[in-house]
Amino acid sequence: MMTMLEHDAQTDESLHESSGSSDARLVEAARRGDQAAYGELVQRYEHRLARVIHRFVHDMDMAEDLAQETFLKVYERLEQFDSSRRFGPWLFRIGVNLTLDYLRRKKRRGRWSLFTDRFKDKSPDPAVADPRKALDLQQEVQKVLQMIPEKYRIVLALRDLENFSTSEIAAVLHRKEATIRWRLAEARHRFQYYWGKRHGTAMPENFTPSESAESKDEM
Amino acid sequence: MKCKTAKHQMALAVGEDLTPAEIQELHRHLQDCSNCQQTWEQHQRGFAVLQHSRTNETRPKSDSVWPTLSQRLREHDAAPQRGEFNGWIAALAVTAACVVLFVFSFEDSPSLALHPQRGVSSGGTMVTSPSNSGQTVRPLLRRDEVQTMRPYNAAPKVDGSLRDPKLPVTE
Ligand SMILES: [Zn+2]
Repeated sequence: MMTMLEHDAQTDESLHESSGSSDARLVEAARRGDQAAYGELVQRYEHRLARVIHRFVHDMDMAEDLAQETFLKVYERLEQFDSSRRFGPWLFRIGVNLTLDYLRRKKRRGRWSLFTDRFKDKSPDPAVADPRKALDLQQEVQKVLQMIPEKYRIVLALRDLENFSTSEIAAVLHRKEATIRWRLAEARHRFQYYWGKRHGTAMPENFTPSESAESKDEM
Repeated sequence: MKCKTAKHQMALAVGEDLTPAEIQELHRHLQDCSNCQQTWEQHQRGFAVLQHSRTNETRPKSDSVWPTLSQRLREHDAAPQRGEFNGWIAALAVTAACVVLFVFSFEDSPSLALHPQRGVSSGGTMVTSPSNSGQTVRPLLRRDEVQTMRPYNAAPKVDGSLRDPKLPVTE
């Protein structure tokens, strides 16, 4: 049996399918009720999907649960899949949507407690690092990512953390590649700016996040 | 190339998201612009941080979700088509409500105008709100109540309704 590492290396690094049966053939078989074919698709994509989801939820158990829900939803919708398109982006789009939806509901639920806790907790400016805390790179990166608006952060996470190409991200998010490139540039600017602000390497000139990004990125 | 354009291009160049021609053009600007050179260094630092954090990523805990998932799929496939069944109930409920509303609208004006407090109890399907003058009739099932009778969806732990208009799911 393959170890997880080997499996990851062999199958999870691209939205383009690896060797073996093509995604389209497996989807076709799964539609006819061949669960083993669907199992092959699941195993082909599950680790990368869980990793991508983990970028947003920061809890691997939850990421795996959400990945499982994604595969269940995809299974229920196999009939709706346009087989002239690639399966990977469609799967990831459903997974990303499911995750964002989960996060929004979680945020709504948390709003009340945030409101009631507001006066107890004098939270420091998130843009300034707390020097008393030991620097944990992962946590720091997460904090800075959280400061970036969602539509830019998704693109940054998929491109720079998960190595999707801009055309793959365009397919996943159902946007033009030009829009994705615009958002990517904007996201990197913001990451770099907030990182510099927290760690004393801010840009020399005043960076005003996205003077014109909002209008330009709906291309 | 203007500095503003150069800054946008730098953000792409740092992750190798420019064409060779674009890179050359940016390179020419950077040679003559010390301000942009500084920005370029910032970008490289920021990008290095992201790359470094990427190598320390968390690995999935389980080998595969497939054993659990395949069990759920078998249950899903074996389950009676509750989706259709519920769909029929919803459709029937809406139809019934419409029919009652339609019938009610015929006997509406004279009697109700004369007896605004009158409630309609025939078959227990309709109620009138005492605060309204009897003209607004509420079917037992409100629209949102009917909508909650959605087809069966085997998603017990995470209810992932995909309603984000910005990220349409069906292609
Ligand atoms: Zn310049």
